[in-house]
Amino acid sequence: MQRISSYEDFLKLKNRVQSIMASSERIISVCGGGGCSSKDGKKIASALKDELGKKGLEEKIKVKLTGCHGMCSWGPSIIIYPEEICYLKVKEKDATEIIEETILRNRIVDRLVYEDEKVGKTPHLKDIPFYNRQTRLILGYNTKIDPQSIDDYIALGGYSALVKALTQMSPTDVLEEIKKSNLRGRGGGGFPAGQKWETTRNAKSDIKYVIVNGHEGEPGAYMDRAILGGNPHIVLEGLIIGAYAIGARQGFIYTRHDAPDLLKNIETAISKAREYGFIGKNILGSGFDFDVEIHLDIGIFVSGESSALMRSIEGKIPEPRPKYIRTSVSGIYEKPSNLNNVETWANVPLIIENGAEWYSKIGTERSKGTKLISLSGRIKNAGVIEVPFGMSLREIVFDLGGGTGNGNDLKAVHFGSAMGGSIPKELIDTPLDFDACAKLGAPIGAGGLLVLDEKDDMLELVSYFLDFLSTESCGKCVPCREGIRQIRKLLKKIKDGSGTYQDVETIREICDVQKEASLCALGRTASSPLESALKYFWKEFESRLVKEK
Amino acid sequence: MDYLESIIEKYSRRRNFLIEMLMDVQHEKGYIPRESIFYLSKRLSVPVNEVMRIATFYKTFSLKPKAEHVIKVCSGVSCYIRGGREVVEKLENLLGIKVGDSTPDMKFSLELSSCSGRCASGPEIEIDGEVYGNVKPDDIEGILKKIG
Repeated sequence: MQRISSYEDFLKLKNRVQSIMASSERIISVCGGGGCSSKDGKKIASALKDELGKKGLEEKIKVKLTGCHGMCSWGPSIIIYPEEICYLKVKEKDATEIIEETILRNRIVDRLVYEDEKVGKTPHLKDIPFYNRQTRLILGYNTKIDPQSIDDYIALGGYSALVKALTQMSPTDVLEEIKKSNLRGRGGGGFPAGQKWETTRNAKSDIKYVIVNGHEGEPGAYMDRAILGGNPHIVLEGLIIGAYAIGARQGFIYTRHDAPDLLKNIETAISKAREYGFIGKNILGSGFDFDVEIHLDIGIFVSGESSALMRSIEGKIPEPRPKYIRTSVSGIYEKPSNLNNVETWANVPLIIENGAEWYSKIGTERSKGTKLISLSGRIKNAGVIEVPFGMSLREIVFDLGGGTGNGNDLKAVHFGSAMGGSIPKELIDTPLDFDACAKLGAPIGAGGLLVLDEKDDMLELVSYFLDFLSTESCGKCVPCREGIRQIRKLLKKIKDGSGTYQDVETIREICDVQKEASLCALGRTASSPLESALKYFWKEFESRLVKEK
Repeated sequence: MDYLESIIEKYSRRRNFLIEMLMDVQHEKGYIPRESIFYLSKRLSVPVNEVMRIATFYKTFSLKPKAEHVIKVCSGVSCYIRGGREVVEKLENLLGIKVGDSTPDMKFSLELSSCSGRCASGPEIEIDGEVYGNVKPDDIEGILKKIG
């Protein structure tokens, strides 16, 4: 591989890799994503390759093991390009038939095709409601590229934004573009990314850091894995652009320890980017130096909190600290450190490439762009989707998600996992929007959407989240550590049928103290699911309370 | 202590990779042996109590040897509402141990793992790296028999 040191070099490389990609008559994309890897994506890919080999077609038709396609309940899925034929629930033994029928005879294998009551049998991606209602700006790459191949990403336009930023824009131009786009942080808070970048950029220090938060510890949230595992380069590209705008020369990617394929893809991405000179000294001849290292979460929820995460990058216990001074001013080793979530970084190349004006046309007035959502719980089409802000939750749950899929009625949707809240079915027409959802007490969080049906018990759900948080809390501050324990005790009493109205009052009081006095967001929002349940599903609590005489 | 030296070298003796080093020790040995804590402390010039604090902070780390087969049940919320709790109860009953313990013959350890993101196929258990999706309590006896 040659080092790319100018705009012209890059164009030559892009032309070359595009013509290589165009030389395949067809590409068969096999989902090897997180949700499917337990379902034999690797075996299917190699069975397809074997079949093609037997027919002498391995040069003309390429098989790619890709990241998550998104439709996890129907996995493993394969997509045949250019026709975009989608086969679902594919098994290793289907390989022969797929090659003989579809590749050699252009015939559809009927039993592997999507089917529902509304649209009937539909083999093409563009006719499947799960896909055609989405706006897959980020996820769109997933079905087309081998996550281990930087050339695949470049052929589809990858790294063009980095080249544009470094050869045609000043760091201030980049910052202004991000600010103008109104990109808001996708990790939970929804804080304007440009404003955060500016704080770190303006902080007085020679050393600054940028960080990708790929911790994703929320139960039921798995969209960041879909991006990082399926196309790590888009995140890396965003990170390098951000570092350039902010003035950081060192970056960190913080991710999970328990997903070996994910880690391998990130490591490969970094080393390929280094070979092309997108990381290292004097990137693209611009004089800008930047390097990245990976750190691992060893499995505790609190280490996804920004100040805790930064401690753990220093090799210390991930305990949060009070944020009188923001981490964007004093973070890793007390240096200004800008942390954004995986999805936030992945949006950056899109904005730089297409401009803030283009970007701000997508979404609602105050929530711009698309949002990745992972659908779980009582839902027919569980998986990862990407939709524009403003889409109604009804559309997400019913049109894309296919409803509960078990014959039971919808009861509520729960956003934001253990730090979020539930929205009852009566409010299902609420648009997907940071502020609209937060106002209802169910902030989007990182985008994990749990669907509940009429048989689900809200007290059980709330207890689950509190049990989870009690083991994931670092234990440093009293309101969080002790507060959660006391609430759990009272909740158990209510579940057992001996709780009183006074117990509910006590719970509310503890919730108030937790919100006021906890050190970090984990403690401050620990009671959110409980409070939203009390607000919308009070009957479920009341019916269990001891009736006062 | 050769394995410890090569782990330390993998991270160029850098103190800020202490957590990753302990992870590698756990991977290599299946738990964190007492002597490795002292060894890392000395080689990295980090007080023993600090290494110890990390080793005891994370539930992923174990100071006790694990059994031959480690059963991990996904503790994610989607698995939970779809019957994960009943799966845990069944495992506890069949093995006669609680989550976090190992059977006296050191054949099985039972653990909860954080959400695997395979919510579409929950409840899920993972045994020695092999993933079993859509598990029902009645399936468990068969799965355990298959393993030994």
